[in-house]
Amino acid sequence: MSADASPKRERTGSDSAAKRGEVLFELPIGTKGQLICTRPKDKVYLITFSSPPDNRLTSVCLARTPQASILLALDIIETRYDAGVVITTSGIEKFYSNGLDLEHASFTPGFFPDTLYALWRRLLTYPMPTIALLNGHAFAGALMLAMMHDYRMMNPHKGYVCLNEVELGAPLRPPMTSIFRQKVSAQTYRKLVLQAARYKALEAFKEGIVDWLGGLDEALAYVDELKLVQKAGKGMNGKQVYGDLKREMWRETVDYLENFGAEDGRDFMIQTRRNREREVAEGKVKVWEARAKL
Amino acid sequence: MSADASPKRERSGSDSAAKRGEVLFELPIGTKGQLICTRPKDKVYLITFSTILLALDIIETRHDAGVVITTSGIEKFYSNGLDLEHASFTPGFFPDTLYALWRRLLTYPMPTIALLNGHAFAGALMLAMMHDYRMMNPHKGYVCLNEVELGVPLRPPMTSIFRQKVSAQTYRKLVLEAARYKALEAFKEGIVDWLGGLDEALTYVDELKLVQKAGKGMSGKQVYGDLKREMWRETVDYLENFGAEDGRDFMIQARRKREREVAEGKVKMWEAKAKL
Repeated sequence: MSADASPKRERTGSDSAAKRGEVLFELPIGTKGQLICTRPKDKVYLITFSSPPDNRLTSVCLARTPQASILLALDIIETRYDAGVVITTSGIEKFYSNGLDLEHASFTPGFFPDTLYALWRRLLTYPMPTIALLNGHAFAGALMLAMMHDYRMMNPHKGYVCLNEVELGAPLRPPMTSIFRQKVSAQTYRKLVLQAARYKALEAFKEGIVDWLGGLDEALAYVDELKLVQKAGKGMNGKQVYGDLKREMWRETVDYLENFGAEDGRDFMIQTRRNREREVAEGKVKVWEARAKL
Repeated sequence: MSADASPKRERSGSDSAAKRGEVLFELPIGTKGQLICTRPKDKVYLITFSTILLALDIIETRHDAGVVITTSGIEKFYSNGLDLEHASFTPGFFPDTLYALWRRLLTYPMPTIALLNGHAFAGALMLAMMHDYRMMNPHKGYVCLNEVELGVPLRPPMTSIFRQKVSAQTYRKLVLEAARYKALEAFKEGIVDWLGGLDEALTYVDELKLVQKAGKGMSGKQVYGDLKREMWRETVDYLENFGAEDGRDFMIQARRKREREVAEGKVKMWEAKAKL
């Protein structure tokens, strides 16, 4: 777990260890995975997380889920290093992440908030520009994680992004859907949620789901072109407001991520109302059928 | 009022009775109107209407989940909007019938398509926006929101559905300019999703695999209506909690009056100083 400054270690994927820069720190993920934070350029922090086989954002009650490790990494960067830009990517070549474990199981209210929502909230309001570097597939919960970043870059040669909840028969909780409502057009939103459209890189770029195409080199060039490192600095009045600006921009989603307790009550009322409406509908149809027989 | 399964009856409009498929049921509307529900394809339900709430209930409870397309039996109009738009605005009138229909469509557990065979103005365009998709006749009809020209306000759900479903620039053009859109412009600006008639709508259903979207997911649950309810929660909220709006309206009116008095006062002071 100690920082290893050896630049010769092999990395999976096409970006070599040398490109990824000096290792700042490492954190374990579960029993088999790891998170490595490197600095490919001054004030640019690259978080590479790997949790074999496919970087699931697990719901298992382990002390070191991927989301807990990423959270700790973000805290370390903010408190121990100069403000700059954070790029997150996967050390598993085929997947940025294959989403949440629980998506295939029944939905447990209250489970997500402590780790998953905490990570999403942190990213969404993080006081530095954040880039999700999608080296491979990003489905469902993984695409949501990417949307919580400020910018998204995608590998032009590999991987799909999609929200497949409608095919899984899983509902989308308020913050899961609102982030898309806030960050993509209405037509793209509908295509993602109601059609579970699978987007390759170029189409994802055209529809604004991702902002640019490429790998680490292109991400670093993008950081320079947009002068993102400077955006994290103090303004002319001596205050740094990047995180505050984001918190207010995305306040609706931040609200849902913070006040999830209210949602369970609202869910219950919605279910109750739907049951009542279905009974009313059944009653009206029966009345109509009875008349039709006369 | 009984379901009449005769497919040979003539229909007004350009899509023949045979294309529209087997008649599933009919409902009367008032003393002169009629709603007919046919099935042009397996699990695709075509409602020709003036009101559709009971039809939606019948389809959901008595037929397999699929896709619902609504269109008009009157060739020139999808609908010409609400009666009351030209009269004074009566709070509380809309919620029981109109809002109930819009709420039902907006959260309906099957994909819905508004097939605009002709004009859709104001309340009719709102009805079309409550559907998931809109298809428009390329040769005929305009869509527009002409409330600014009528001098009628837009109630919260009437305007929020556009705020949620079209770009900010299109929203402004619709609401503040009462722009009249022909089919091609409506398509370009995303107000409608495709152009054509029933044939094109059925092809669209196939291309987007919309019938499958209404089915149960791998978990065994069907979530299409739930996904929509959460997507459009702001508008659903306004359609369900209209009681709160009357109170809010009152406060807005009170505030506007006060602001006008304050403004008048400030201007008078300025005028008095100008004379010194």
